[in-house]
Amino acid sequence: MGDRNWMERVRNAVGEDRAKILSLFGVGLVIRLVLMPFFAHVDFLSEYGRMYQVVATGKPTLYLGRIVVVVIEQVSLRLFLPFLPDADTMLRFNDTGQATAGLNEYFLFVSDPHIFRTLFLLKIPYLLFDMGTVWVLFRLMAGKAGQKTALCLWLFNPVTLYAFYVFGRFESIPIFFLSLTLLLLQKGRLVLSALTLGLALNCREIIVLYLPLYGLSLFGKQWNRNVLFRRMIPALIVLFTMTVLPLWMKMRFETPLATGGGGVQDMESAQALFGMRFNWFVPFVFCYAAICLWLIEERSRDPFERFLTATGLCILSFLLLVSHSAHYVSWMVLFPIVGLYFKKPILKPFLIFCACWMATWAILTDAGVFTLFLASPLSMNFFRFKTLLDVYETTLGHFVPMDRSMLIWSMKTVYAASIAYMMVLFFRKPEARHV
Amino acid sequence: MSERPQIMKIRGKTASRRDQGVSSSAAVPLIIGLLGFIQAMAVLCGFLCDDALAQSGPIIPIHIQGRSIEKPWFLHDMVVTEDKRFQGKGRDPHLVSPELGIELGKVQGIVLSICGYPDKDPIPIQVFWQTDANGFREDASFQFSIEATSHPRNVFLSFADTILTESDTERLLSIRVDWVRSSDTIGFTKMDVLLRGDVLPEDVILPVMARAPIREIPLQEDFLRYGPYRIHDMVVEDDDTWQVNGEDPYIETANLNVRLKRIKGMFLRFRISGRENPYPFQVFWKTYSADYDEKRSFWLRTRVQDGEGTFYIPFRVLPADDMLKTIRVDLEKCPKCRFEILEGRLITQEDATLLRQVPPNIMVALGYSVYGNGILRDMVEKARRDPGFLVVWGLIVVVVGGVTGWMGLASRKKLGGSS
Repeated sequence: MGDRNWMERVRNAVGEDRAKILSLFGVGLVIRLVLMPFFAHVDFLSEYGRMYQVVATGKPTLYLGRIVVVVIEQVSLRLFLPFLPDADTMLRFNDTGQATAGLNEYFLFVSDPHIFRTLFLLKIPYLLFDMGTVWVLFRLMAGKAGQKTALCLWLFNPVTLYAFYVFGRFESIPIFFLSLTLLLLQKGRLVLSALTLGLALNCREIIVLYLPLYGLSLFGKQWNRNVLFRRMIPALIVLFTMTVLPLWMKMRFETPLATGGGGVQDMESAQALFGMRFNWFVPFVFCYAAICLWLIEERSRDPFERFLTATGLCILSFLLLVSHSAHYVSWMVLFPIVGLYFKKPILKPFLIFCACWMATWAILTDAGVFTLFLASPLSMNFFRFKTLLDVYETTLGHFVPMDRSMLIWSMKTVYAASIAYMMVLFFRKPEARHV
Repeated sequence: MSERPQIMKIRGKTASRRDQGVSSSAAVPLIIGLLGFIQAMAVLCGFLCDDALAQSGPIIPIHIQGRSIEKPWFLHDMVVTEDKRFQGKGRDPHLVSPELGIELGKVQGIVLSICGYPDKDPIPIQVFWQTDANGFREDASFQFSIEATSHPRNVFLSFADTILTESDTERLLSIRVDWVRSSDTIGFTKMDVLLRGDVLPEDVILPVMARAPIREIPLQEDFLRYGPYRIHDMVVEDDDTWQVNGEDPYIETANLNVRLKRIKGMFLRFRISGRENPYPFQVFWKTYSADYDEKRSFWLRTRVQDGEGTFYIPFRVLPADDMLKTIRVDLEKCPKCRFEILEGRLITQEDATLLRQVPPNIMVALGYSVYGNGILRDMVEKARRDPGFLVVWGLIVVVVGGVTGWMGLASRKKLGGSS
């Protein structure tokens, strides 16, 4: 009886809807906790190897474009170091000039008995920011019919689960700041939104593409002198400062790089963005220009909707044409989900896209994808597991006149089509659909 | 009771057929047909059941100290010609002797009486042997050629210096003689097994060896007992230490020639100068079927105290049937280092003290992964070595899962109540 009363009290206090959402959140959290200790890509070691060098040498190194991530990772590394007795052998590169881990370091890393705890602890900041995004989505979608759908899509989509917990990347941090930017724009807090966008910019180079879109989004229907001077200009000043400040800090304060070498320069440069595997670059420029023109022309909507639509289309068109790595797709997951705020019919295309993403990367499986239980440092071929391509070649390949390369390109094209489908429905006004 | 009427019925039928006048002349073609059928089946079986017939192969006498074993040899991919020679008729022609069952330690060698056609000179032949402990192995075989003459040549193959017995009771089970050229026709008339103390016949010849069996060396624990270490990109200093003076410094053992199943691992105690700590090493291994390979090497870092360090590497992942040739220890990122091996040993018996000296990050199961099929074993091994984390992580998952389940249950009950 006592238990039941207590349960009743909690239920009443939390509310029925919130109890449902909390249980969804709990399921999402359990999935994440289960994945965290058992997977990592070699990039995870590279990332924390660099952080460890900074911590061990005590030389502050500002990785341009990732300063915020570096600070967060260094704080968490210092916090967890007492629980990582083998950190020195696991995270230290043989060569202090190295910026990325090599095969031997990765072998040592994955074969350490403390590997599972290391992965679990060092992924905790990613989990916190991921959960932070859940909170932002909860707030942003409050009172909307699509709130639960949005939370489900975020909590259970395979793309971010893979990127944050299987691949083990810090993408959850810039995505959290982006989601916060959208929330603040929705609430009309321009200066704060500029600040969070600036923080996102200092987490990931790709955000640089959003800056012009942000500037154009602000000049909407409510444009007048009061708004301009009291909100827009301060916001732009904040954003400009956040963009330029790291450059100045780097020139002014940074001691010689702890790691040295050209690898760091490559890593921290926005050039890396254009060093990706573009299948076709020019259409992206075309799309970007078209989005800017649309922002200039269409000013009847508020900055939140305009920025959401513009950035969503921008990253979708980018990923339509780039197939560099499976985890980069996590950059766009937020936008279609927030699109539910405007009742965009995005659920079906999003699910189709997730299916296409999984199928494409199952076909494209290579050294950097779907690392198996830490046991596959370089290639699954080590383990005599056939990739889907191998299975195809030995079975259906004899009967179907489509070779390996054709199959890969066909899958990439189907995947691109699924993104294009989502772009169309993301851009279209929901009312237009009914008309 | 029930069978009697049937018998009577059959009898009745027989009687009636006889009564009907089935003559014996009609039975003759029937019998001939039956015999023809049996013969045809036998011919067909000759094609299909080649191996079955091969079991009853030719008798090549085997002499052991005046005793003669006259049992059929097993023929594979071979036919016997009219002049009692053996002609290869397939991809892998060979003969296998009947079981010998002689203590291997007592065998001095074998003498094969072989002749060939002079126009096919010389004759390449490969001879394998099988014991209680080992089957026919490529690395344990004689490969030689002899001059082809029309009369038999007695070829002597010495076992005494070549074969290392696994135990005192190990027996030589059989000899296999292979034609290296699959279409050769060779005469093979007898085989003598000479035991220790037997006098070698005067007419025997020692063949020209294309490849002798790899000679196993009796197991020595200390690496130095096999010979001095070879060094690369290092120079010997006055005090017998090695000074690194190149890009790729490593130390390699002399040829070990030890069956991997005889050993458990290797142990190294060393002295090293330099500022690195823990020191990174890479340990390579080479066998007769696998060369040094980056993927199969061991990476490790070993902590050094007062300039001295030790490590033990278990060889559980190395192929047990293969023969370990050499071990190579590479010094990683240690320019200008001074290095000295104080103790280098092959380990035959593992104990807890040794296992404690396995570097923490060299995973025994890692090798299993590299060889395949061991992912789950890999995970279990890793998890077993960090049980504290596993308990805490398990508790977190259970608590979060439990609270979630409870919340879900609560909201479902509420729904049920309100409906």
